[in-house]
Amino acid sequence: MSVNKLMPILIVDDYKTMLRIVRGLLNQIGFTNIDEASDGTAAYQIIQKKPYGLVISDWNMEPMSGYELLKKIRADEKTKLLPFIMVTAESKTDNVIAAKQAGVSNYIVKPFNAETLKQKIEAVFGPI
Amino acid sequence: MNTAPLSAARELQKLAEFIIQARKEIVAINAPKGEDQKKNLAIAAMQLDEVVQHTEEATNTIMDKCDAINRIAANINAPQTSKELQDIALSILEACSFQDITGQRIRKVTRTLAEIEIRVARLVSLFGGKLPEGVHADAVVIPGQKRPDEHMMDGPQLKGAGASQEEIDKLLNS
Repeated sequence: MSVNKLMPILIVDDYKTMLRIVRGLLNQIGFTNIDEASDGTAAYQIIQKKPYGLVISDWNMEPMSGYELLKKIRADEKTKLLPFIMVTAESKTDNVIAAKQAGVSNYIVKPFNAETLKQKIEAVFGPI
Repeated sequence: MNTAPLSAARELQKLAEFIIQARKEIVAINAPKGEDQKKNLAIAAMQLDEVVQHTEEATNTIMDKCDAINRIAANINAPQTSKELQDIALSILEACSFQDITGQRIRKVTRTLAEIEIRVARLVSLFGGKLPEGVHADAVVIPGQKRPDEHMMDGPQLKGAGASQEEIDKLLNS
């Protein structure tokens, strides 16, 4: 699989600052078609209306977390194959295992840099 | 002669004295001696909220300047300098993620303060003390608990307590 840099990416985080940082890092990597959502509920509604190539989501959000969003996406026939990268400050192995079992495509622990983000996207799609 | 009952009685007496003393001290904790005394924990929590807000504002200002550097870099007619400026702007942007981590850590402390306040209020109420204005002993001790995965939330972990990115990668690939 190769990366289409024009693919729509949805970034999900309840901190506006973090949304801006992730958007900036994605821009630096070469992705420009980026939408934002502030929690899992909002993200799931957006995903129902528009096909995305990748979701990059925080875990700890209210009312719906990134973990719940991931499970909802995987349970939906239309979105079950949608690549999903978790970006979170939760670094306990139990969390990583739970995310893996739920079908996460990759898992990035905060804080991170553009190179790590690039590597994890490449791990899912192939070279950028 | 069996001295056990006597010893137990002495221990019970000590325990009773301890409880009486503890009761006095607990009631004294929130005794309304003045406005500041009454609101110490609430003020501490508010101060921490202010820290989060100010660092967020400062972070956004820094990111605005990063955008400005990138705009200037894009218009420079010297590719090497342009690239160097963009790399610097990227490093600054990456460093800005500190605000997310510190914000989460401070919110953990704020939640702990709120829990302490409620637990102390319950003890004060239990021992007949007077609660400060705005403090309720019947408040919910642990905020949240609305999500099924709430119990999994413990981050950000302290240095060395959580898995590193390398360990996470190994786990995912195992």
